[in-house]
Amino acid sequence: MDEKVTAVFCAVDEGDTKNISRIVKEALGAGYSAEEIMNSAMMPAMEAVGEKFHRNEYFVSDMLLSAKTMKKGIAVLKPYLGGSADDSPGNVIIGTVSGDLHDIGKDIVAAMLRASGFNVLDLGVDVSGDEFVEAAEKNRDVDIVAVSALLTATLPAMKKIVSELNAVKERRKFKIMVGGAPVTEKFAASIKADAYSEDAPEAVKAARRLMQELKEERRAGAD
Amino acid sequence: MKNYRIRICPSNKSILVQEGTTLLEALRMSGEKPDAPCGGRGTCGKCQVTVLAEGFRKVCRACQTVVDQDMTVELPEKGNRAQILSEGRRQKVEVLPGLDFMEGEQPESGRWCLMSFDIGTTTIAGYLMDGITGEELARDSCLNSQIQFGADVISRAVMAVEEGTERLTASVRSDINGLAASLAQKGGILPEDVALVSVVGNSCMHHLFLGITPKGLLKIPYMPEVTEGLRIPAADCRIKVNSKAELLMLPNIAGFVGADTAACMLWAGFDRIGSMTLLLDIGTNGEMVLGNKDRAVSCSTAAGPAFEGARIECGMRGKEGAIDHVFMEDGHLSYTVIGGGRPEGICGSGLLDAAAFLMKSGFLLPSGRMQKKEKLNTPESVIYKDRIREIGKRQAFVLAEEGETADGRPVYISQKDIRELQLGKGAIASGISLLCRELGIQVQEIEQVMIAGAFGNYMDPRSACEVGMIPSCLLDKIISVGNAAGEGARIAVLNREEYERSKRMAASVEFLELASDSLFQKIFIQNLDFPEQGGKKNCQSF
Repeated sequence: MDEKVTAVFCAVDEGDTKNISRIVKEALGAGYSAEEIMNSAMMPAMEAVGEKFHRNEYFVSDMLLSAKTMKKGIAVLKPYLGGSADDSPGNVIIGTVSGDLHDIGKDIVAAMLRASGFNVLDLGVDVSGDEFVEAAEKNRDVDIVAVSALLTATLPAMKKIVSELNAVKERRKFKIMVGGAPVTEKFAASIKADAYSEDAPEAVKAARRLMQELKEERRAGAD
Repeated sequence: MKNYRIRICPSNKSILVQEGTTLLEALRMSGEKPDAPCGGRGTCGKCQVTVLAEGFRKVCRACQTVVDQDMTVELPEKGNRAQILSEGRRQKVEVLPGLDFMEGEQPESGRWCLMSFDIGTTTIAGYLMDGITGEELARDSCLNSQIQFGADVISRAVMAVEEGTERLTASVRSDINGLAASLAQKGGILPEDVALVSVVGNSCMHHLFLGITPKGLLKIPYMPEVTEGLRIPAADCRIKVNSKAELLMLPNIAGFVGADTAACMLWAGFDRIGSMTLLLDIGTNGEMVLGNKDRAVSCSTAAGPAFEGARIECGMRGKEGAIDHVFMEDGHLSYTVIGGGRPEGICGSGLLDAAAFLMKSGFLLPSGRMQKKEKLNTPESVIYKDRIREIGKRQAFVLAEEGETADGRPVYISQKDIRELQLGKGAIASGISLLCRELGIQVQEIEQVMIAGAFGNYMDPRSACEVGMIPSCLLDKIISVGNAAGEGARIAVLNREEYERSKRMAASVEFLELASDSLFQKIFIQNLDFPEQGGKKNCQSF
């Protein structure tokens, strides 16, 4: 792989927010397609960052920098990426539940999902059940709604929001995934979320799995 | 439903449990007090036992092991003599407990006695005093047996809300009665001679002792169910002292900042202090109060579990076998071990010192990342570069090699341990920053820093400043005040007017809820990093 593409990989890996836009433009200018840059640089870099995070070599600040870098890089690539719905792995709506102001984890998840090719609509923090439901209704092609909570105190809000989203699901096909420090696999199952992930890299894996399930369900439904 | 027999070594207890019970539950049922800092979620690894059953012998986590046949369980050897903090700095107080309610009764030993208890999340301390002279007759302490249900207040509060307070309340009352009996014996009196008892603890400990479900503490706005001071019959809490004895519960402030902080403030005489004072109680939780007699604000941060040895790979509590200090001596990396023998692990103060050393000698980047071996270039790091190993999948620094340790396994600090420390110290540093902002002062304006609480007493203030837990411009203003909460409880029981004073103080302290503070996250992220050499960075203010 040419050094122009490797440079994109390194910039994301190192969290080089200052130079990423220029570096991505240079790779495009050298004739690489947006898809190639996504597949050969952006996604592998996201995997590498996730791996380092699991080894604790990377910590919160490192993740935030890489996330910011990914976000900036994708913004440059976006206009050049294929338009059809089949090209994107999926559409995700994400937000932190009402009463909770924490966005670090959510922002890192959003960035990693984007770096993996997902379209992400970020509703922000302190998002009520009504706002989640409205977003799911309005965005007819949403595939996954991702709900985050960082305080034990806001777990009841997560329970309420997931049940409201499940009511919408009866009419529409999408999946619900949850995460955040106080959330556990057991809790996620008890509130009837479709998936739980422990951290951002795991969230990307869970999102991919959910997309696989959705594809099969939709295919089965179409028969 | 089938039952199986579990035999426990070395105590040789034997119990029958239903198929499907976890080994952790079985151990609790048998009266063993297993260590389960994560509350049985399977994340900390501290409940490891050896299981022998038909056909196999293996080491496993008790909380994740389900009984499906007869088993023998070998518990690890315990040196449970933890370094529990009892000493606090003595205040002179006039002995006027106000015992008129005992009129008509006669103390067996000739005079009425008083007791005070400080219920810490991890350890409980008790004191016995003469009711006339105020002289201390005995002191004792024990581990809070609620640890078997979870190391931190959140997991215990969640348990109380989910299944009721019965087990938790019974556990702490049993500990208190055990201490009361032991104090009486040591003091040469009978428990029936005790007329008045005071109790302090953080809001969660306070509620669980009284049998109150702390559901308010788990949701916004995090209010305790009870904040005012209480005076009730000791018998209401099944405390085995004189049947007519009364119990004084000191007031809670707000959130998890409870009666123990009120007691610290009483001991410090906060309502009469002119100098800008930061009172930091670092135990399993980190509560702090900043201010003086004109105005005071408090907040609580998650200080533990790193400082208590939990979630640290070679971590352990401050008891025999724990490395408690790490330092350079004559150019050699050295450490001390509690009890003086071979090290088995490292406790909070040791971890703090080790992190400070690694940072100062260039093993750690300011972000906390361990520097790659090839890139080490400072004199100290080059000398000790062979201590860097890959253990599990992570970088680690070996403090004590296989040959030096008690069990032949190295004691090391891993990259993950550093991250856990960063989280704890970042929280405390952020609490201090935000309290300063709330009071509208610069960090440099703080005139004295009183460190109370278990860990706070053993930590080296220099290490605390070097890692950025406490701003380094405050190094020379740090004084260790021992178990100020215990001392405050003692003062309140000795003098009724002092108890009333604690109620007034608690009512006037303001509370800052960090979880709802929009600035907290940003400041917390900044404070995760280690300060640049010299630590000048963390004296910058808003």
